[in-house]
Amino acid sequence: MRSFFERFLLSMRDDWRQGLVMVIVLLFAQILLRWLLNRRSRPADRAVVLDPWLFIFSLGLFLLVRHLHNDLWNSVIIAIGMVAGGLFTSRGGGRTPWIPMLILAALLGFGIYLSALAFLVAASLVLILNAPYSSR
Amino acid sequence: MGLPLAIIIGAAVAVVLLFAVFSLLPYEAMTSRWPLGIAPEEVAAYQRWFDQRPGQPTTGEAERMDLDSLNKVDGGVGEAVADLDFNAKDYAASVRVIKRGEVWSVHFPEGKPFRSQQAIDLIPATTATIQVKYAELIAGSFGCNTPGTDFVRLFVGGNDQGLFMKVEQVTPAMIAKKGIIDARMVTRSPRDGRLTRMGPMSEQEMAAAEWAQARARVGEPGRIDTIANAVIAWFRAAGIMDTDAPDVLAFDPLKGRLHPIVGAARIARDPPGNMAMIDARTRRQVEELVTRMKADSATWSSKFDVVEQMWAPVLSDGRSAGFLQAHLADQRQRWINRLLHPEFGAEDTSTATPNVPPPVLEPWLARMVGVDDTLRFPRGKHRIDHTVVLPSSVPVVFEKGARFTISPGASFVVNNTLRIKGTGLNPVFIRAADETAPYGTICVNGNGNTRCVVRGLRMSGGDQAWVDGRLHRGMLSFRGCDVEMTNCELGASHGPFAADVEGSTVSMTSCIIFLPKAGAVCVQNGKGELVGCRFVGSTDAGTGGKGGTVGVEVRSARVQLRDCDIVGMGDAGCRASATAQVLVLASRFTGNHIALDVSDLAVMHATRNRIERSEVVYRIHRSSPLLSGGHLTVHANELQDNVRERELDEFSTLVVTERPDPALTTIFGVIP
Repeated sequence: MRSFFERFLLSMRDDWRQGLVMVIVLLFAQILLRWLLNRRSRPADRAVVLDPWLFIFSLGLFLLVRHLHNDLWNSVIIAIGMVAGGLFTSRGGGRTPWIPMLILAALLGFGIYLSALAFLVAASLVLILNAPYSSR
Repeated sequence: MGLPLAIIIGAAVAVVLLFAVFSLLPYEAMTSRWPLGIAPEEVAAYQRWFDQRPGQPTTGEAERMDLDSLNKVDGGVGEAVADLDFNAKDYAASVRVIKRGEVWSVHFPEGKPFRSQQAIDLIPATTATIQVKYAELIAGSFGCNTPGTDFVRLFVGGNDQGLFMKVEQVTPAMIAKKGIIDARMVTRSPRDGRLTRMGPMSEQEMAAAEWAQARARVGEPGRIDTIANAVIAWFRAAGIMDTDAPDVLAFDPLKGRLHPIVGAARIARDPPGNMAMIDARTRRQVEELVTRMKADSATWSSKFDVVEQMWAPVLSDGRSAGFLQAHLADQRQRWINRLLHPEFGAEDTSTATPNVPPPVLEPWLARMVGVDDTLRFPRGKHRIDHTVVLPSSVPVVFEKGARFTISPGASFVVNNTLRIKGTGLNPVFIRAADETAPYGTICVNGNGNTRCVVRGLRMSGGDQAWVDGRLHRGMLSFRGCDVEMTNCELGASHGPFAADVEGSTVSMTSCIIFLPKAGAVCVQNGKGELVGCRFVGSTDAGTGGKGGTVGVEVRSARVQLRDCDIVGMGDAGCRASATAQVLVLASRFTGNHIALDVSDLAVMHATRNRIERSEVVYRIHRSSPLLSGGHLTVHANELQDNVRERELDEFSTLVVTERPDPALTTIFGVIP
């Protein structure tokens, strides 16, 4: 376990620039998705643009998937993340994009950035077409 | 709009966008560097899924290799070991497989190599792996030793594991195929240059390898294959070779020379830029290689085209021809750019390199140096009681009547020309001071054609010796010389050979070599003629095999024996191996266990010889399983009272001809 943490910290140290970029990407993605979710809501119904818990969870998932080179553990972590994301979504009334953000974090963690981009586009389109809490 | 419909429409629009982008985007744009760190492999995968423009996908079939029937044995940390059934075209065997990460190492059974390969590594391949072929081409063009590579498709238990690069493992046997016989393998740390054994190696051999490395560092020529060394440094500085993996080197104990092997498996697919630390001399050589490559850029371009035409279909994996072409062109351009602009790190000025002073002439020898700067040993007694290494500026002459006695273990090393001027009446004698304890060797280290004339020498009681990092296997030993020996008698040697000639040209006339402990003469990596000589073993026929004596051993050399007598050799009268070419003409073989022994791609022609009282007259066989057998052509030989005429294995050929091959005249310069 100690060696795992050592390796984890070492790779963190080596990849810190890329990590910083990913922090910005995740922030941007969250702002975009939440803006799309909020865009047809009345100001009173709108959620905050930046949810710190969502950001911390997605960043954590990204780091774990990126640095844990083990297919089985990655699958388990992503599955747990999805279940937890589903629970948080239902608790929060669907105003926080937990599932798309966690999927995006996992794709970025795997280093498949084109897939992450395509997913972000698709998720944005879905949210453009469907604004669940819009009120007229 | 409801969520399910929004998901369907959103995903469909994204997919349509991807189809549009990947079907309309020019291939050149697709294969150039993408923003946001998008990897080329991912783009290639998307191209394969979403590119719908017309065009034929390229297809090529790599050879199929099957591993089946798992029988797990055990393994170390991070590895799995198993005995599996291996199947490929025209080959099936049970093999030992070691899997480390994604790399499969396959070890074939002793005596049943796979296409002359004892062990291979299978490394996952992509289109980027074609860079290994480029590198192999470049290294090969500079004469570097590289292991053979190929592309194969691996199936394990019937499941397709994908495309792999097959790389032969670097072993002494593999190096022997490249012409370096009896090499020892060492690894060299890229950090501090420290050498480590790779296989069985004595302390003396290891010390000699380290000595060669130290001498190479101070610029002594011939201690390392400088070109291969520079190519490795170049690839590393260009960032196309794995930085941390140690270099593999073959150490040739006879030459005391290191041969770095440019390992294709270590040419990483996309390694980070690397600030390699290399010394100033190697850096100059690298810059020279870069200049040469720049000058020949058009030639190289066409060579790489050929490589791509040959291997791209295999590596395409169903991608369209246009994309593959653009992808390879972009990849090649970036690869060449890196190669032509290597990044050198700080200069290696390691103080660990010993500054060995050149040998100086000892005072008792300096008194014998004449006005012509030649060291002359006059008629009379001379005692050598310790190993003497002479400077390379000093030619040596043993005058007629000089008599040397040499203390046990002492050697006499000449690094310039040697002339021994004995006559029939006043020979030069070299004897052991103690008859029960042999001295080392009298050896000459030449520069390729250093002239050595040895006449009227009577020599006995020597052994073999490691001198200056080189193994001299005979009591009289020549390296890189042009040797002429006449009317000499060498007797009772204790080492592997009485006379050992390596990397030299030798002409031996009217010499007698008797009672060698193991072998009379060995000619390796050179050429020579032995005329009117007599080689006398210590036993009569019947004691053959290992431990017996050999008259003339020829390895990887071209030699003719003419009018010679070879008598009583317990092993073989004349043995040719390792691609040797030998003509045995009008000679007499009496009472040898085997008269003529040919193996391992050697070719021998035996014409007009008389062979009698041998256990076996002709033995033609494969000795090393990685090589093929031998070839013997016989013509007009007279056989008498021999037990068996031939021993021939399935890999070898024996041809009986009515007339000798006219080409022999061209090859050996004599009319058989």
